[in-house]
Amino acid sequence: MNTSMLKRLAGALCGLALAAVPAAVAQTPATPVAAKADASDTAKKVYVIELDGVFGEDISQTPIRQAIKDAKAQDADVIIIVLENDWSVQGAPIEEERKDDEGNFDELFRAEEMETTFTEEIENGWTKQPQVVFWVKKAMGGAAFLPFNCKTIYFSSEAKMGGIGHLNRQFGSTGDLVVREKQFSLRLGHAEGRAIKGGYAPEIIRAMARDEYVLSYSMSGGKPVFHDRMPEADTETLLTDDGKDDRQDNIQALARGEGNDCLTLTPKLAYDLGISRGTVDTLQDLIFQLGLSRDHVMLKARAPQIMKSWKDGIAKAKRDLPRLWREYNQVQVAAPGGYQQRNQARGKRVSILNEMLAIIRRYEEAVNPNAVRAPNASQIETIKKTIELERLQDRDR
Amino acid sequence: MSRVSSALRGVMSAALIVLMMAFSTGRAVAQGDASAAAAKPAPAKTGVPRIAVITLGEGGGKDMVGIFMTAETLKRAIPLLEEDGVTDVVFRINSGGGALLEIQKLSDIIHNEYKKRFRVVAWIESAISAAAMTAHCMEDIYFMEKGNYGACTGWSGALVAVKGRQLEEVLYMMEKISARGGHDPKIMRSMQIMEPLSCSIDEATGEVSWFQNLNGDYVVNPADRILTFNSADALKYRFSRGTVDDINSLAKMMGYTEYELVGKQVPGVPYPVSRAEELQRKFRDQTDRDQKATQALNVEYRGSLQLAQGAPREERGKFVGKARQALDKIKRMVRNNPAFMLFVFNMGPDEFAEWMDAQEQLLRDLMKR
Repeated sequence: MNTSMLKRLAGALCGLALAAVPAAVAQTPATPVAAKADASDTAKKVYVIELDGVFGEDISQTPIRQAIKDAKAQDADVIIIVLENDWSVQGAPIEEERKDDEGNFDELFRAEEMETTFTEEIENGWTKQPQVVFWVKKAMGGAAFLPFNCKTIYFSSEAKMGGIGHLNRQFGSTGDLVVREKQFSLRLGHAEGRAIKGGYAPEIIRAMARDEYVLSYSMSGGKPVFHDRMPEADTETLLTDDGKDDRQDNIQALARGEGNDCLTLTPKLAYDLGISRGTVDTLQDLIFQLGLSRDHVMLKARAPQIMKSWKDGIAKAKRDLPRLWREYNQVQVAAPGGYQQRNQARGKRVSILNEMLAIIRRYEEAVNPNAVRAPNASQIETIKKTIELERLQDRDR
Repeated sequence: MSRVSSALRGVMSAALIVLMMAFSTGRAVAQGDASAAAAKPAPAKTGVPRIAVITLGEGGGKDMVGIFMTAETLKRAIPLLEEDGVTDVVFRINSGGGALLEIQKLSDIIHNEYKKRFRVVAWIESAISAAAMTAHCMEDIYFMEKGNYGACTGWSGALVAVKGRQLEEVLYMMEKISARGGHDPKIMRSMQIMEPLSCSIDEATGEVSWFQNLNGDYVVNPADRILTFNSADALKYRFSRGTVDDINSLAKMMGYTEYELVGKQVPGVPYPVSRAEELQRKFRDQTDRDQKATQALNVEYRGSLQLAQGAPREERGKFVGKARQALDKIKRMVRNNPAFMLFVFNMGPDEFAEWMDAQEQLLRDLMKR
């Protein structure tokens, strides 16, 4: 073999080697990317998850679980969950924020589906437990229940947490009072449990939920002491009154966010009541408050892509389901309308239904097909059975 | 045929079902894949307690008393527990309630069968309504931190309360069940009807005295409320023996320094899954699948039967075959969960057997020349 051939062979081998390297790198597990070249081995790895959008749809357990999984893969020491849910009126022609005193207590059960992703699933699935921190920018309606599971909460200066009030009005005058009270009681039982797990006073949940619940507090040893009565001394502060007669919130108070029939947590109030550890407006300030300024690494979180992908998927599902249903109803038997054409039409219908089923199953935790004028999974299975029977009955005459 | 149509609509009779679940939202707790077969029973170390966790209800909507939490399934679990040398059974309860009809059966199986074979303990994640009434026969009740227990008012339809004679019967039933668990009957009474409840605690002895008024040192339940305990109050008033979130801490709180947890580790499940527990999980999973398939099954059976009845004799075979397949599925559903006879098909056992015989005869007749 001459020199030039050897050179060509060597070059080819180098090319092969270079081509092989990216494939080899691609096969290695993802490793945390250090944001600072001089980060020490003891630097705390911080992972940020932003939860925004509509609670129960954009904010949902599947993407949160995926983000937590990414945090685990990157060996996060601290997981910061930034919560700012969309509290606007859905479907309104112009963007309109819902009122603070609007109650959406039953979103609690949606919150229960999500909370295990950052509580029990971490407790049971992680060897080294990360610190989970909630940074509340807006937690209204069902979103208000999420931070209560967590021992470390911070607020932003414009934050509010509530929108679970007027539980006692939820069923109007339907049925018997004793049964309505049962419903209120079990709901509060669920919600108070979350607060207790996070280390917070269950009385706060009651004050956020029931109009008639009277709560005041005083300070002792730097910690709040709660009293389920009106204040009896100057050192006691009223949080919520019973909302009866002239104590019912008037429109002036409500317009100014000063109503006290139900409690909405503001940054100052949350701090005074021992719920929030402080008020911060930037991530850097939060990192400082957590005592991590000098020694931390911000992990390259996939959380933004995960949340966006989920959000986009929800939006697409809400468009695709009614569209597919229209397409299903428009399937016609082609001319000349014989057995083969009838079978083809049935096949097309089943194919569309299966496509709908796949979408529904993927997003079933967040999308209600009936709400977008499409059948749900159970209804689709029934329709498929009907088509199956049609096929059984049909024959080539 | 019309009975099949009405019964198979998959709607539970409101007249029969009281203590309805207040909500239908499930909890998507990742419980892991319990399909891994539990190991054969290991030889028991003499004298060491062998603890098995049995879940009553779980997230994802699989928690209704009478459908997913049944006396029959608990009965089926007993031989498995005995074969595994279990000495202590921890009932981890996560249920929003359900059928009044099932409470006495569940209480009987726990009190009359489980207690004489095992030490039984209730570990409360959420026990609302019929679920709390089931747990109430147990003396040892522990809570998880987020635990809740109570809200036992009976109702049906549009929030209509159980009243009159039926209410008195349920109140009396729960007085007797309270005695089984060693609980003052006033506690459960305040969970069922709007009765005030207070207590005083003798700090020297720890004994709690309960009052069906507000005269005690602590107001537990105001007059115009229904009682649900959270974990803090349950502990404060000595209703619960302790608050724990993991099985090992629970075992220690039960008084054990040495013990064995019976079962196999399953990813995502924070305690070993015994064969008895696997039975519960498989039962609930199958029940859930069957419940969701009820509507389609109705169409399959009713539709096939109609086609068979309308077809010439020589063409009936395939339709009768399809109908028979659907009927077999119904049989299998009921074999897995006998409660389906009542809650899905709206029939008692004898009635269901007669109906099944009649359908099979109908299908045979359709094939006769």
